[in-house]
Amino acid sequence: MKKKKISAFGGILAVAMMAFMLVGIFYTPYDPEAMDPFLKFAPASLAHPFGCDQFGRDIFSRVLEGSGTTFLVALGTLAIGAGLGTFLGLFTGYFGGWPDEAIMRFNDLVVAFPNILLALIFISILGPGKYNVILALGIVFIPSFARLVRSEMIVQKDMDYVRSARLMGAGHMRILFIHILPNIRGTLLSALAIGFNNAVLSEAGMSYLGIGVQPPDASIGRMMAEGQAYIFTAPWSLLFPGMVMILMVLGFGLLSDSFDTGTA
Amino acid sequence: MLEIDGLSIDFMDVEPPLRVVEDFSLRMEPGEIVGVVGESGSGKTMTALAVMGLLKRRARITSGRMLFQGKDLLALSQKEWEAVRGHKISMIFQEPMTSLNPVLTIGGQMEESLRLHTDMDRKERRKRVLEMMEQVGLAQPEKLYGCYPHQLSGGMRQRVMIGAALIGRPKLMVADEPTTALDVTIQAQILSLLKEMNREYGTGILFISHDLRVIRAICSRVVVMCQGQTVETGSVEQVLRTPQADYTKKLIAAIPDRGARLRGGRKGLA
Repeated sequence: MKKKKISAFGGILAVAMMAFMLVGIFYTPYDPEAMDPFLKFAPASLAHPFGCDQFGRDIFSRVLEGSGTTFLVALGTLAIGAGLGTFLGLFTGYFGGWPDEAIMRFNDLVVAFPNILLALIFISILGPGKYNVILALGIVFIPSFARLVRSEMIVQKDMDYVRSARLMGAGHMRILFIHILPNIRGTLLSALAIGFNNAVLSEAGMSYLGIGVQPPDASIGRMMAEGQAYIFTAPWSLLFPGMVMILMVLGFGLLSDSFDTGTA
Repeated sequence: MLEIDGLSIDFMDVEPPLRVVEDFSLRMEPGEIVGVVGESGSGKTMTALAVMGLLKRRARITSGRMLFQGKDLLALSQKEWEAVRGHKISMIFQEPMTSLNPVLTIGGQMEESLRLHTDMDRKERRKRVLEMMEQVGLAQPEKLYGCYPHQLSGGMRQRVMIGAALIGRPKLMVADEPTTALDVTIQAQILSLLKEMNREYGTGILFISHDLRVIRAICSRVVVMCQGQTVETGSVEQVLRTPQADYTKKLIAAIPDRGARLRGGRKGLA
């Protein structure tokens, strides 16, 4: 019962944050780039609920726009990483043989490097910017999904129900996608929720380091990097972006937990 | 209908290759129930998998012929096999608890063969499935159609498997120990269901078991296997009454006979 409440809370929080990010893509109360020297470091007020930053820009609008950007980056990252990773995992796990060996050893190679370092390498090749961040993070995310799906696949492919499907005359593709894939749905969903979190954090981390989303696009990571300098004079410029990020990660983390235990 | 001639199967992953089935021959007429009996490891299941074209990569058919309705099974391509499996030849096996996909509905799984091998639309398929459920003795088919496997007992699941295997009206069904995992009363029900289906549809059954009692209950002819060799073959009557091979005699001696035990008990009392 308690567990159920927690996962319900996680679900609601995740949906609320998702809505927040979606709104951020299409609407902000003020122009997030508009500077107003009179509002420099203005504290939170009704007109500016999160206050204003060192250039007098509305922090609420910037957080909203920044989380919209974050959402797009996380979604794109998952589309590439989870999409390709799942695909690779399904096939290597099911068919095995030398392609499995080859792809998995390459996987090991990628995993051997720290994620941020790899992303850094890609960015230094591709150049910074929203879309390159998506591409870099997406590639970095492939191995974890491939490995997860592959190991699930190896368990599932020898199950009796797979054998009965073969006996019915089902082909490999039908078995892979109609019979087995729904059986690893739970694992996959929870991995997606965790992956979303990791993507959000990686994007923030990269933007914090200045190799992620570039100005004039707002990003929560960059706002935190900039607000850091004013932590004592105008703590709201750091506090509110940080809070939004925490809520985002918390919501999806709890959601992933509930997928995992099947209480969703 | 099914003719197997001198079939030999080797495991290729050991050196030298291990022969698991040697010179196996069998002739089945349409609608006949033939038993293959032997202890575990005697090669019965390998033979069954060979008939289904589902031998693992490490097993290879090194000699012999398999004809089904005059067609050479050994010459079929992967695609051709997929058209035969579940349609002309189907199979049920031992583990009714795990043979059904836990996340698909009972109805959906029983339809599989129709979906793969016929161009019936959803309504027709559903109708056929409901009829089939009725025939294999599943009560309340309408309700069962949308149920998931975990809601069913082992006996019910085996009925579902049998229904799914027979829904495409196959000419041959391979039954690999279909009653072994069930308790004795359910065993008897499943056996009489198989017999009934055999009468109804004229489906030939290749019945594989380690249990001569079960073979005796359902088969007309039997092949006795031991360590890959065929040690005896003939009508069930004849093999049980006048066994020739020592192995067959041992198998018969292993049948627990309630009558004998009772008589022995009485003697003990007297």
